[in-house]
Amino acid sequence: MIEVRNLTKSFGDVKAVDNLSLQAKDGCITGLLGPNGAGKTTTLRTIYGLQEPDQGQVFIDGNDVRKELIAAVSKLGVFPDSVGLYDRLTTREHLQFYGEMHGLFGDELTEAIATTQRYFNIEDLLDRRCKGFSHGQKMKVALSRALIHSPQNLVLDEPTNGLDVMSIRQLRELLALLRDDGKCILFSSHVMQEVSALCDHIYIMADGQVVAEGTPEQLCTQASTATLEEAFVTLIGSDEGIAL
Amino acid sequence: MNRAIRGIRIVFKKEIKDSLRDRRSLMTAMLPALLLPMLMIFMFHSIAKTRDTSDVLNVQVIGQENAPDLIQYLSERDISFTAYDGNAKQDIQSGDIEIVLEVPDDFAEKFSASEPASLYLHSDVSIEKSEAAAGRLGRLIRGYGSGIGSMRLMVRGINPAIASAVLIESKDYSTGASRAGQLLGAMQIFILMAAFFGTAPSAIDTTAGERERNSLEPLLIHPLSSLQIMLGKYFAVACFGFLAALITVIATSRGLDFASMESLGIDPKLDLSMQVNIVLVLIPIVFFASALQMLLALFAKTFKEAQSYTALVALLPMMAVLPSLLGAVNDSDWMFSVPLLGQKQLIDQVLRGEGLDLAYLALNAGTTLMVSAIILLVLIRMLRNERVVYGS
Repeated sequence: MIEVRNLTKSFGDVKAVDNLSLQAKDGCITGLLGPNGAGKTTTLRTIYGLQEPDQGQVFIDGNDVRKELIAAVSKLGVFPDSVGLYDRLTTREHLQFYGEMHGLFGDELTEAIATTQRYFNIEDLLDRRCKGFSHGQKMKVALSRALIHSPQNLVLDEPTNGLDVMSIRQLRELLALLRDDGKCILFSSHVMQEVSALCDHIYIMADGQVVAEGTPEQLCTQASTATLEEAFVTLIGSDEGIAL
Repeated sequence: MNRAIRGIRIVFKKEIKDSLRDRRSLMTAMLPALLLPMLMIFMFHSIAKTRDTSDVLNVQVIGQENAPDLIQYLSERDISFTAYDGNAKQDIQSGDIEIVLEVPDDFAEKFSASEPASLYLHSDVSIEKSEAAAGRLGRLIRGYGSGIGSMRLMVRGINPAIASAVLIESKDYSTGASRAGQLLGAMQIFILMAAFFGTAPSAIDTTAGERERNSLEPLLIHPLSSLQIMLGKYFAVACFGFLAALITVIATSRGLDFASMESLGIDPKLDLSMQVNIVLVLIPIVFFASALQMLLALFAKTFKEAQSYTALVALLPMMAVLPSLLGAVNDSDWMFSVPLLGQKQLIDQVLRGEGLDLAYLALNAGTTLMVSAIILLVLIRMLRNERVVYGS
């Protein structure tokens, strides 16, 4: 479970996140939808502890990220907004390195790699160095990195950006599977389709604030619209920066 | 504790593997360590060879028949003669010949009249071999002339010593070993630089490079402390520094084995204990170079910027060595407590064959490691700083 309380973060005069609170529960896919520049990435970076908030707290399974960072991130799998792989290491070496940092060794590590590679069918990439991988291939390695230690909590920043249709379907199925397994999943997107297809609970963000939240049905009721898409437009006030 | 060390080892292992696969950077790191001392020794070796006077010097001569006595005198002193009638200026400057001795036709006449008889020595002092030949031949001819002069004075019943009002007697106290130390002063720069060249590529790659390829953020979302990650990186960078230092010391020693510099009055060699001593002196400087370059690279905005910083830092050894090399500063004890300056003093001692003063070594290593540790603390503190991670 991921809990954000009264988060505020400014860059100079710009308030990127303004008194934002949200909760992502176990066994639930929580979506953070908002146009580009709404403060989604800043919020997520604060959750995994790399951006220091001006105010507010973040808890991951009860661990305060600012006070118990190591304990908090050990229960967290992250797909950040940059893929960031090492050109000279193979996919397997990547997964070994990240797995070891999560405390996996020996048979446990081998097994974790075997399980993870099946999620995105990257077996043929395992022993190739990452230099020259396509963007989609790199993303699959990065997604595998987030999952190598079967984390209870998963934070994904725009995980479908640049992924092909087949892989997006794979990812959706996987996330649904993980939800049914009781994991907590929080992902951000500016693609409505994405969010409406997957999420059990949605936070709509604009200008650093949550403008609406609830299940898809609740959001429709709240905006008095028939479809989710219309609800988004009504709630944000414009459809600028949002992709259908 | 075990857990902490395991985290350091994971990062260390990965950095070593990654750097070893980057062949080009590895070459950039290790080649200067190998080549610079070799080049330096080759230079000294060549200078020594041109000064070598053991060989017979061949002199082109014009008008040999005008001074048979002089020719005889010189021939007994390892000078051989070849008759010559070309363009002296052209042939000397083109390097075909080194020196031409011209004996004018009126030489014999003036000589027997006890008048100063002129000889002409054609040379080009900007050409090393020509200058050396002119010096050697000139000295011999002056010796001949003063011998003849003394005899003329004696014939006239005058003590020849009366013509020498002042006599300079040189007493040169420099021993071979100490002169070798002077000569090798320049080598210290390269030995110290090796630590910087060796650590620069991996220092940049593990910091600025990590950010440039966006892999720093993913790295930091793993449950390792900044201390573990930074130490893992730091030790990996230092390893390449040690390798470069080792290569330089071995290259220097092997190079000196092959070079001969006897004609310079020196015969510098680095025996095994001297090599070990120099490596001992270099260990703290490797840690210092690693920390300093990682710090600059971590704060650099881009990979390129980091490279220019480390290139500048690699010149530090030169700045540390120059003042005393130029004689602007006298050796004193405080120098041992300054990183680089102290190492320079210690390597000096070793090269002069004085052995290593353990008290000075401890002082020097202590202060250098302390400065490195302070820089390392800054590195650890800054690693998760959002300006470092996201660069804005």
